[in-house]
Amino acid sequence: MTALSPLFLESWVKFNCQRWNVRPLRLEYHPHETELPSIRAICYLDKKGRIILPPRNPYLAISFQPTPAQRNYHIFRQWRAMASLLAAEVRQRGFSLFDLYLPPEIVDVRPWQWLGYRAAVRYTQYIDFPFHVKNTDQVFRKQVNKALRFGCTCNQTTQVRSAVACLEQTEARQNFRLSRFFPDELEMAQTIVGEEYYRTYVCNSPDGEVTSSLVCLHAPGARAIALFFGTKADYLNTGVARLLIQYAFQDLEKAGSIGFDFGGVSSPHIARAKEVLGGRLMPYYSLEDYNWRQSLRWTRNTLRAVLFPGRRPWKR
Amino acid sequence: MEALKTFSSPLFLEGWVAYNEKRWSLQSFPLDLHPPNTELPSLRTLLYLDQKGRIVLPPRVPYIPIDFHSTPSDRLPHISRQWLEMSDQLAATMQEHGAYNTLQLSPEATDVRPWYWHGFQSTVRYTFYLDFPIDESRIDPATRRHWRKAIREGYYCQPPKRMEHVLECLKETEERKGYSHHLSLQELQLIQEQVGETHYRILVCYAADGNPVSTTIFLTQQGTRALLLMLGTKTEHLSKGVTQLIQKVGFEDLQAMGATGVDLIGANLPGVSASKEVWGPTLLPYYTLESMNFRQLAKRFRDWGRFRALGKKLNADTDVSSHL
Repeated sequence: MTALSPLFLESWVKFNCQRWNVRPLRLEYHPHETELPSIRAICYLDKKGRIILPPRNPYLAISFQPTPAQRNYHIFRQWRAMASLLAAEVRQRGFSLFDLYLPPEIVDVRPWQWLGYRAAVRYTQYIDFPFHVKNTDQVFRKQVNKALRFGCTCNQTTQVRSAVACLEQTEARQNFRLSRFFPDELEMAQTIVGEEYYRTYVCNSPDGEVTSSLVCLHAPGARAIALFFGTKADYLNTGVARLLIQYAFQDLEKAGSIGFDFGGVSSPHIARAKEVLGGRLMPYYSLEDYNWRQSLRWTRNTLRAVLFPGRRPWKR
Repeated sequence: MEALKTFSSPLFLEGWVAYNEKRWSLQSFPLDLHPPNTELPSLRTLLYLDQKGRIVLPPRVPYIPIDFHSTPSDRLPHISRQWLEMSDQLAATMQEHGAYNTLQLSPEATDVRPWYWHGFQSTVRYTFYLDFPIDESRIDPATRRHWRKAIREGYYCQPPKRMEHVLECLKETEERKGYSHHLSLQELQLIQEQVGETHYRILVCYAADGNPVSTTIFLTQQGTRALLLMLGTKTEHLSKGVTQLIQKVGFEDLQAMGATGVDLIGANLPGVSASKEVWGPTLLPYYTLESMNFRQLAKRFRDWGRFRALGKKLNADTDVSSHL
């Protein structure tokens, strides 16, 4: 983990604070007075001082750097020493959500487990740049060619409102509803974070209609993270989404990204759509606390599983 | 059962399966999934079913072994699609049977999404993999000093002179760590009889005066990764380096028997993890599976109670503000 994640961007932190009414908690531990090993994290606190992961943030921003070229038992020890400080901080403040997501770089979540959190696994897909089309599935290449033949073109845009229709349609297909303030939110994010880091890509049909759009967070030298990705229902089979992905990858690579993170491929249809890109599947871990709200959720989920077996089982 | 001998884990061993079937009154349920007409991709595993047909992970069996082979290809989308297809079939079969207790998949199953999609819940646990030949430069120098000290003081390792010695050594570790293997003399003899000494390797470390001080038990098979099933040391000899010596001798023995590496099984307790990581192993996550039912719900509430007690204690002990 040499480069930090774009989630560490100061302007992104500022946007989160303004939009979601939270305050940042910057943590940094250097146990030995030296630069390394170190652990850095940005958490957010709600009004009651509990840790919260604001919407649109796929994970907490955590970065751990061990001392270079060490034997791995050293690294285990350094990680345990540092992460247990962070875990104790989380434990002391508590968190107000059902789950807290840790970034995929964190493989070892035992420091949290040892403080009484339940850890479950979820998955995201990592694409490493340079992106090679030859690593993708045939289906992907066919669809890209189809969209090109159709005459579609892609570009980065500052007109974020033009992207909204696509995102809304996709969210609706997945049974989500975006808030009516959503277009304002996009605009606000772009103003605060800046179009260099908060990038919106759109794919236009030959007659100028926006057919597919992708919003991602980028920082040079780090892995870009997808925030929203949507396609209009009428254009689902035309390959525009695939063409847009390819364009965004090329553009992000030029801008200095080291790769791309889809920010979650845990449901079956998303998994199928993303696996054709030939990325690495990365597990990441979610923490669950034991409390009354959580226990109500377990009971509800168990009742649902027992009474209606086979109904939307992947919705946990 | 003959074909099972080519499998990639000692958990498929005929004798081991027969012992578990007999001891826990279970029925083994080997599965060999592959598309009709072709050998590959293939997913082979071995489940145990109780009398009601539910899947059970018997005590002292660490994982459900997973042996997956894709068709030869280095293209990730290809391999990942084949894994999803095959494991989806397995997850569907498992959903049909239901899980009686908490199951654990072997660390080779890194992608457990198909089980989520079939209604299982999962948590993560950890183990250590150590590959042979052991890279000496990755071992903690303190560990090397420990085993040399044990050798200087005249400790030596060999197969047990009497089976009682094994139990003696295990007992003290169980008391220290607060768990129990529930192993009796008859049972130990039954396992060794069924599995065979070549596969169920027991070593005991004796002091110079012939007293047993430490023991270790491995399950191994040529060409596969051996499993460290149990390890126990008498408290008064802990500081003499006997635990390190017996592990070192054990690893050498396994390597001579043709094991490709060893799974140190379990890195989920701070003390256990610290004692195993000195060998320079790789930390690997593995996943547990639970059916969603009232039994598991009750278990969650029980865990909650336990953690609340633990959490109160921890909150009192840790003052994080001093680190800021």
